[in-house]
Amino acid sequence: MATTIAQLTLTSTDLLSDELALSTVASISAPHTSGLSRSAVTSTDIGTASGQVTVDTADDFASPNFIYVKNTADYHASNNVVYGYFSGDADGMVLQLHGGQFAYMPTSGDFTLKFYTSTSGTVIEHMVIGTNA
Amino acid sequence: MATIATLSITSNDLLPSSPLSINATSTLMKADTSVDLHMMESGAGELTVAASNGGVVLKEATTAGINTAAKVYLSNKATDPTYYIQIKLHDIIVGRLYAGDWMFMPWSQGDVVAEISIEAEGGTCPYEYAIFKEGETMVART
Repeated sequence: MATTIAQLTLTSTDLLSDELALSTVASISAPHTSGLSRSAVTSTDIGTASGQVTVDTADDFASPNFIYVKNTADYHASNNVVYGYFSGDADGMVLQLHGGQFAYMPTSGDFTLKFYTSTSGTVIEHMVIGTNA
Repeated sequence: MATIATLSITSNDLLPSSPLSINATSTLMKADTSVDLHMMESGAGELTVAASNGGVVLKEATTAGINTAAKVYLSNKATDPTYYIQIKLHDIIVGRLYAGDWMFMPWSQGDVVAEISIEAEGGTCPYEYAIFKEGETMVART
């Protein structure tokens, strides 16, 4: 069983009147991974399947599995924004990541997580860690 | 008012051929701008199975919050590995946080019913959370 360490640190010197320094660590015992991938998203519409990037396919991993996604573009207010949604769920929009932003979250593995973008060619890096179903 | 989120994911044995080391850093900003998020709320508590049966709201969505760029941190502080917190965006099950797990994700509030709810399963789950967000217009007294 492989061990993966995930650590998050949230810091700010001016959000609060006192300094913010929040750090948390989790150790994940899981044997499988999709591997770290780098993919260009070219679909610019949720209804256009061609060019969308599938980060996690339904039932490939048992619940829970953890998803890491990073938008590698530089931050821009309205360009290079990627959108993640659970395919097959009519109300399944779950993520909006601008350039430079990331998410680390559990999923049930019951739905396929796909991404489209505001700007064709936006590159994301992504990985699933869990146990194959 | 910059808030910096830094994530590292490391493993020596998940990938058979090489160590894994991912590092990502992000400055939290408001939607469609290069202006930092400037509001925060946080808390900690205990989520019992009975009290959270069907889910309790961690944070309501609001009209003012639609299409904003809030970020949510949530951690399950339980120690029993069979206890988990199920997270939902309205009716969408996002996933489960088992004991010791945490998540960090954006929350853009697609509509006013895109609330985040949590539900304990297995046993009482201590938890902590933080939400980084834009300012909110206070609701008029009724």
